[in-house]
Amino acid sequence: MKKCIIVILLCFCALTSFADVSLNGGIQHDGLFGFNDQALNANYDFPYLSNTYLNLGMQSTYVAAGLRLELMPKPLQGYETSFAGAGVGNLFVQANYKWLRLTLGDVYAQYGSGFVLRLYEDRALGIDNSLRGAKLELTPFRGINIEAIGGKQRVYWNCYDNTSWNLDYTQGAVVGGNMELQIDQWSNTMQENNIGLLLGASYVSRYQPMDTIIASYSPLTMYNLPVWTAAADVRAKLRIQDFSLLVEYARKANDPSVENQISYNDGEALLLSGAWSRKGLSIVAQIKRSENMSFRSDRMARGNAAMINYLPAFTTTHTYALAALYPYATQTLGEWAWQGEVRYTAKKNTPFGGKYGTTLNLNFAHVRGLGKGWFGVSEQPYYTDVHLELHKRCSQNWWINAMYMYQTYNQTVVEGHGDLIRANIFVADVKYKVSDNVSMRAEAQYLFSRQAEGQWVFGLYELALWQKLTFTLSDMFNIGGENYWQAGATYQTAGHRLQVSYVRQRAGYNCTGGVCRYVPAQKGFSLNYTYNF
Amino acid sequence: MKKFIFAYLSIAFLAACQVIPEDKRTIAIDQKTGEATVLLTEFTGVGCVNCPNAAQEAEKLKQTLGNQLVVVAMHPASNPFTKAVEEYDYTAPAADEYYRYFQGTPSTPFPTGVINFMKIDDSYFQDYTAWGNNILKQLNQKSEASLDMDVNLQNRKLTIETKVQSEREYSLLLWLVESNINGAQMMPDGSLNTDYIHNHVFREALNGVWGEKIQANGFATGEYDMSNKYDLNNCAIVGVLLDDDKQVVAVNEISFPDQQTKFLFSINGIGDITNDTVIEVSNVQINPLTKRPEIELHGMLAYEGTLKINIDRDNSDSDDQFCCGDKCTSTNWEKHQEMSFSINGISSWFTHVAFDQPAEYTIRYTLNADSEKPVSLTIKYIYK
Repeated sequence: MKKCIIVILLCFCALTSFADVSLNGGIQHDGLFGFNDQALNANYDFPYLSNTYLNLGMQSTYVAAGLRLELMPKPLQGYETSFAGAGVGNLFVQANYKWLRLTLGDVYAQYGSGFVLRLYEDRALGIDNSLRGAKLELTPFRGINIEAIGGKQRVYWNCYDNTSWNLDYTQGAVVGGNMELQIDQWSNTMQENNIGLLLGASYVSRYQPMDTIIASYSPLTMYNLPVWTAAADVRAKLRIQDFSLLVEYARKANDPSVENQISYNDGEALLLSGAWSRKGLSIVAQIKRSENMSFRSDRMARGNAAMINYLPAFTTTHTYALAALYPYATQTLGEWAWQGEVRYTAKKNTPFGGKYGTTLNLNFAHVRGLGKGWFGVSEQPYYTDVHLELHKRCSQNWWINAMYMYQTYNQTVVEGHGDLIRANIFVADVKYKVSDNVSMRAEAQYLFSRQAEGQWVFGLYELALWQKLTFTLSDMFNIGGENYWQAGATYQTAGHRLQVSYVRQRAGYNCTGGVCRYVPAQKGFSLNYTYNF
Repeated sequence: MKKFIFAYLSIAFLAACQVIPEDKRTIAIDQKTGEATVLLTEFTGVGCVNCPNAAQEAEKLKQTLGNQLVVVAMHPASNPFTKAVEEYDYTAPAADEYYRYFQGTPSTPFPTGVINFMKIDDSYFQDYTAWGNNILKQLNQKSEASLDMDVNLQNRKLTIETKVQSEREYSLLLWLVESNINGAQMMPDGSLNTDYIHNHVFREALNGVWGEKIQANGFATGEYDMSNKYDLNNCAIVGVLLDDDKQVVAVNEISFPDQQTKFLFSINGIGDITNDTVIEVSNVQINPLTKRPEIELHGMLAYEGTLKINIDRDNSDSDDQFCCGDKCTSTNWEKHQEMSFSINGISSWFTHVAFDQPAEYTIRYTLNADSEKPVSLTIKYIYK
């Protein structure tokens, strides 16, 4: 194994001697010196936990290659047990010639919105669901894209007995195909009138040998599980000048799994999305219905393991601490979701826009469970987020972001326990540029709720010097409860970024696009380093 | 070339879907079980909405496999699903230690279970849909050892005698579990059920988290004081044999009820009344309103059935009230009175006596339970 890695690295170095070959890469290290804290329920069996990634890539006219080394023998907390390990997490070689591109090794892909296939890496969530196999991309004619993919899906390290180069794979395989037709490429009239039309269709099938799942004990029977399970997706995207419309429908055949409690029902998802934008104003409205659409390469998997597809959350991923306190996770058994957004930018030198312009953003998101019948909606709300944001540059040196947010969060549905939380959140974020080399930022946030942990207050102060060095101090205080504070410094230059901080952090969920990871409470010194070249 | 690639891909996808008709969704299997015993350690929590489904699965398995399967439900405090709902908290420190040993984290999804302390597919935790098959596989294993237990309970002091048939030394774990606990549980529909019955709840590791060594074909005896928190009528002892790799070799379970006193009558501050008891009362408080000396005695009763209570007084110049649970009876100034109460498990009782005139007072309460020896409490007071 180690010899192979050395050979690969030498090959990379040798290839860079060719004139048309470029090398790129990066390193990322996230570590924590943890301290036990009984009040916080922070416990560490090992003094230093870390996740380290080293990416190397090579690009030339006809060939590309890349590899990623991963080192996490004692990873940061909150990931599945099998996440711990070390080795080559990703390796690929790609050849392209005229209308054909072939990738061998670990491949990623997304078809449409991801309803039937989304293979991606998200380090914060601990997701890398690549296929180790092959991907063939064809663009035989203008406006036609065809793709075929197949392989065995990665599931962390040593999850099963199917290890290879320390990686572990599900027992079966995933194969898929996608075709997209850009109709407007064939019509001068459409192009002249700024009309675009994309038609797409995808098909993905999973093979998994039979598992023995007992159906009844008297008489003793087991479920007859499908070893091949397929899902298909069709979509159309129309653009007429300032207006665009996306319609996408996906269906999955019977897929009994532990996640849907061995249901043989088909799954389906429907997405309608409309957007209109013109300079200074944009409006988006979306609606989605999904039912039983979780699609994994292992019917026994839970959590973030072995996911083949992706169900978007239709909720805003907030970056402000209190707005992100109760993040929503897509409910794979089924939900209705609505989302709308209006973004207005007032021009400069207008009464509302001021000297530098002002942006106002109103966003609405609402999610409910499924009711009786196809159009039925449950009385039980899952999530609501209505927020109004203001972005304004007040002067040459002053910026302000302000937000009010109303949120309802069904903690029982999302986390499996708790209340229906209703919260009002106020955020003020002010930045002041002292000079070209010095700027400051301060945040104040307040959350009012009568449920769960009640009221919260958050404050942050940040000082940035010479565009390289930043000091940050923040405190999140639960009124009547615990205090969670952080202090740190970040230094960045020439592609390097180093952050050192002391953290005392509550347990919570880290979510991106509806996919979440539980992060236990943390206390200690964290070290984060990245370098890209 | 292009046509060949397109044709090949089309054909490859055509066969890759399988739809199972409704009448073909189960397959009969012939599974013979050996003589091994299996321990299912279920990790659950009151805040876990899917845990009742897992408990149902465990119950089905228990009914099918009988004594060959022992189920224990642990509520580890370090998982947020076990956070107390209202006053219902079934966590135990030892449960958390086992949970951490199995590499459980705050993010481990519930419900889940561990079978015979073993890793299956590189994980200790198995989804409840996989319990049946994995347990049946374990039952087919050859049994290396067995254990028998005998328990004796007197006045909440428990004696456990364990005999092991084995060719090697093992570790013996003795667990106290309690069933038939009426409490709260989140249900699959998201509602809170406050009349949920919890069974096989792990309470204590009586001889330590990892137990004690027991020799091949050995014998062990231990004495343990039982906390007042547990209803001993619904308790059982689970004995587990572990090998050097901390995997379960054998398991057995024995309930208390045959060994336990059926009728228990106790007074706060004095203890259990098992024989006729006489209390001579002095320094009685004077009620400022009535200007009469008054006494109160409080206690607990443990019994299932109808309890008859006779009150006999030598002197009728007293007025007293006897209450059992939420039912109270006042005296009718007669020297002899008979009352009956229906007791269902554990019930509180108290008696309140007020004395009218200076005199010598003797009040005898005789408790009669079916098939039990009558027990009497006599209060003597000299009012000067």
